[in-house]
Amino acid sequence: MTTLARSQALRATLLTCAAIGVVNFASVAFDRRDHLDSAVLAVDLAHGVVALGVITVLWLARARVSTRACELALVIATLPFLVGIWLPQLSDLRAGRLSEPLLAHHFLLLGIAVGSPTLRTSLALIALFAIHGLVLGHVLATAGPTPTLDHEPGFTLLFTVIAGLLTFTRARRRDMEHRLVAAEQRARVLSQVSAMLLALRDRANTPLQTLEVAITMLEADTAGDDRRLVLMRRALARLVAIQHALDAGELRSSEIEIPVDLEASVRALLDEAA
Amino acid sequence: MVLVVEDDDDLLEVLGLLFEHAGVAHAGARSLAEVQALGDRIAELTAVVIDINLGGGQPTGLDVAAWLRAHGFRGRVSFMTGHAPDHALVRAAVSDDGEVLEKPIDTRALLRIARADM
Repeated sequence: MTTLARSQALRATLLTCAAIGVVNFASVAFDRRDHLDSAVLAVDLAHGVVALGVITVLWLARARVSTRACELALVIATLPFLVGIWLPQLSDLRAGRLSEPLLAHHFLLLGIAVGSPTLRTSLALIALFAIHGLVLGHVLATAGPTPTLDHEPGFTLLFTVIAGLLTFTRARRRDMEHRLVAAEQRARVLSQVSAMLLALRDRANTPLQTLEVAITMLEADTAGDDRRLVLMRRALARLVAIQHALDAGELRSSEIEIPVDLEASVRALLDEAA
Repeated sequence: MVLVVEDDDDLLEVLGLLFEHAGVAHAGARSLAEVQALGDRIAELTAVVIDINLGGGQPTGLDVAAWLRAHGFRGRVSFMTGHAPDHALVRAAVSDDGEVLEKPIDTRALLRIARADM
């Protein structure tokens, strides 16, 4: 897992947990049902504290936290919603003032879609809370006539599909970002290899020039029939060919697979030139 | 007379031997300071062959060429280089109307340059 993926997962999880904490503490402060029903109040308060705790742990461990830990953190911060968005609806049902009982589910599905650290966490939580919403809708509907549920389960299923699409869109964008970063890293390494090869080439050209002149002078003295000079000339030609191969213009990414090992890359290039 | 400006001792020596063997009058220098030390002999120069890179922190071959031009040299300037064609100094040499030869240069080409104005 790349550093980018890990930092993206951490950021998404922290923001989502912060949003969960804010929603729960806001409910404690402003939701009428929290003031009327102590169980709802206790659950929302506990949920807010859990979210705060998760944020604290993640923040303290941010330097070494893994993507999997982020997934676990989000699950821990989200699961209390199973109770937290169930109880208020039962409270409303008992009080006879049920109104848009699955609205929280719909927002939660979208929230998970935009805030989950990974694709699999998002899909799993969306599936879980979609089923949760459908079951709650069914429970409320069987308790008596509920006009606010007339469009269910269609609305919940629609939000589930939208959340799923959002999830896949985010995952695709993340994937493209990761590929872009990988490509930039690859370009940086190639650039280093290119600079190294150029430096080698520059350093080797002057002694090659000395050899070229010296061999030419010896050839002139021996009328070119000395086998030793023929071999020297051939060796010089091979060295010059290697020099040309080291030219940066010939160093294309397609010629070097993944130059993680610079030495191996140079060796491969020299072998090819020879 | 041909002036060779090259900071590599071996290459400077072998080029001296080459021109001597070919009967071409020549002088050698390793740096701009050594070129300046030639004094009145500069007026005898007909061509110069200059390495572009004369060592880290030293005046370049371009500086040598500019100094020679500023002191009345109107002959042929040929630069030698081990750098790639897209190196900044090489591009500057090309835009300076200099002839740029990439090392290793064919010895016959070097002799042609030296003999051109004989």
